[in-house]
Amino acid sequence: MSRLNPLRLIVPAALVAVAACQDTTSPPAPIGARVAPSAYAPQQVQRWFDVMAREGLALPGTVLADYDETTNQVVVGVEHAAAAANVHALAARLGVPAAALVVRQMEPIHFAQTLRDRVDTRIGGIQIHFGNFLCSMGFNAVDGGQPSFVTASHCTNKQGGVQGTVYYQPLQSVDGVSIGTEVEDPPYLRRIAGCPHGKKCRHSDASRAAYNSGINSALGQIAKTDANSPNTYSLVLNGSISLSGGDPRDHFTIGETINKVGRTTGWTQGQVTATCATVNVSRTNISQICQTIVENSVQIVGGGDSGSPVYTSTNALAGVLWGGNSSGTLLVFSPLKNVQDEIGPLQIK
Amino acid sequence: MRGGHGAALSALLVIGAPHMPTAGVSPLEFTISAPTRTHVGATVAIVLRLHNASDRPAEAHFLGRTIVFDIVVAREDGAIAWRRLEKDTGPGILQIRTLKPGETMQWHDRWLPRAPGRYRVQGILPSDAREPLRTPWVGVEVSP
Repeated sequence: MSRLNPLRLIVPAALVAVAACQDTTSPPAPIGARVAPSAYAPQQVQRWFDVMAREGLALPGTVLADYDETTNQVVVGVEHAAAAANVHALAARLGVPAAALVVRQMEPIHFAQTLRDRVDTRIGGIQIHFGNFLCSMGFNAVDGGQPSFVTASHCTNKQGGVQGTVYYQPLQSVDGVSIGTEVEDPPYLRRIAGCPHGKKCRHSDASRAAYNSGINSALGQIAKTDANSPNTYSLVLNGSISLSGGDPRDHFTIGETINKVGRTTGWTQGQVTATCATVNVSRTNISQICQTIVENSVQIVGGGDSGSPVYTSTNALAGVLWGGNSSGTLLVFSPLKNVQDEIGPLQIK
Repeated sequence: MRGGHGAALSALLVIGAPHMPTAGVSPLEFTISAPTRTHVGATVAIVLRLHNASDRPAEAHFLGRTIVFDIVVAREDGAIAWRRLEKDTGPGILQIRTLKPGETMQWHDRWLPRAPGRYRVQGILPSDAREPLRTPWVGVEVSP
């Protein structure tokens, strides 16, 4: 960024700069005539910048104000010609010489929507909120005609058993209309095959919530970030991925590449290092039977990723993420097969 | 120092200087206290404290329904002698807590030294930030 100094760039409060160099990729032609670098004292031009930022950005259709050190001019970005005319009129009224001002037409700058923001059509991988906790939405599903979403069993008021957990997206404080209510969360039991002595077990850490009426959701869609490669931790939402279907396996291939998308670490990827493993949940009496472990040398999971959809390299839904190690380089997910064995058949696309 | 672990050691507690997670923005101070000296076989009590030093409520995010915290004990050469959460696999749920002005949360655990030497101890609080909160390292001298 050579032309827009972030320290001197101001955008209207209603807008958010997604990148300080937003306007440098294909500079639009200035509406006013291009002028030579102004001969005014830089301190004077900076004072004009201050006043144009304060007064000019209050005008409708303005995008940003900047003091351009290379030309010693005040730059005001506007959305359209009418806003440009108003800025020129204001400058004249405030005594800002035309030679010290460039008015440039540009696209308005919008919030970059992230996985932690309100996403009106609910898709897998976005943030959900209940009680004092945050998790990720797993995937949308229809069960017996009921539009639903699946997340982790421990992302309910109580892991195992239905308590009618009420969910918000992204936060109750942001959108007070709940999106859904927990309707299925089978109990953890001691006497099931493969359950270690003294533990309570299930084959999946998964629960189902029914969407409330009026809540939009897209079946078969999970969040896509703007990252071009995995493990960049970008949370910026850029459309969605269409699931190719459900992966029917509970045994995955060692070395197989597995992806997930969640509200904390975004799109991450690792390789299967253990399949159908019984995993003790740290500092609890719970064991999860026949789980898949995925590892990488970098972080691939973080607090709040519980519930995330896990998918293969062919975009087949593989399961629901529920945990990881303390450094975040290892994640554990419950295979979709186990989820459906416990919750019942689900239409996922 | 042999024996007398407990009250006698309390005078030797060292408290790591507060860690400000995002200097100038976060009012939360994360500190560790541990005895400066102990001996092989005597448990070392370690306390982590998260303190809201401001006059306003401060929101914090924590990993786990029961808040997960880690303690790392390293030898002088950097090798890890003990890690509280080593090989732990836990749920990735995130807890939201608001600390009142002046409120302090604290977590305790104990480490049992098995060999003499100089060690460094650090507390860690995972959250949804890219880097967890970390206390400063404090030194613990373990005599035979």
